[in-house]
Amino acid sequence: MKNLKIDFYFKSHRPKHVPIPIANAKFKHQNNESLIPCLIDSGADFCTVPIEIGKFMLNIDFENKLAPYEIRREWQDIDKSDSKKFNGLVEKIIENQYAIPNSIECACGKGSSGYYCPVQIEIGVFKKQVLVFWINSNVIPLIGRIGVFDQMKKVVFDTKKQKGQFYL
Amino acid sequence: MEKEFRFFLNKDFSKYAGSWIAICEERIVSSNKSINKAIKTAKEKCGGKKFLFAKIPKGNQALIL
Repeated sequence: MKNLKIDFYFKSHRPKHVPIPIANAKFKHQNNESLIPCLIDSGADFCTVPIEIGKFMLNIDFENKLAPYEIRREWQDIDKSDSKKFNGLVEKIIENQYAIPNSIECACGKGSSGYYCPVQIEIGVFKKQVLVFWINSNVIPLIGRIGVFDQMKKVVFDTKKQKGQFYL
Repeated sequence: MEKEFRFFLNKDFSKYAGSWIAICEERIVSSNKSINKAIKTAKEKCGGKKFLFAKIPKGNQALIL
């Protein structure tokens, strides 16, 4: 089967600034959807979006989706380097549409809290339920590895042409 | 490519640095540093139409994520 190609583009947010790769991502939850340009971040474990977007655009009720204690405990204890076990737990969370409260530390050293909770992400022909981290911070939305990059055969960043491709 | 995304890619939004903007039918309908306020205004002005919602980074910041 021929590779399916999804283009993305680079944008400078100011003159003379470094262009950053941006995906035209659509987030869907039940009957709500939002079109959000996201930074394509190969260093981010999870797709990460400010929690207010989840609450006020997608109407996600995180408290009502709270996972049972045993699932939250499993999330804390699981060996995330064991991809088979970890992916199994991610699938369980997606299947049940659970929210898992958590805190993270970003590469800049700042910590923040939020919820892991699945939504559908669409980027071109790519459409999948992805476990997203909804963060209590006013950050640029990110497309990360788990659920997106790990579904691709190849990701190309062509900085000279100011564009890139996901290959499904 | 949706026209809102093409508009977003091609225009200079540096005067909105640090804010969230909502783009509906190739025009900015809302901008605010508060996500909630930007969404609320965009919903009011778009009247049910879809809009693109984006963060414009501050100009003097490098992205370290």
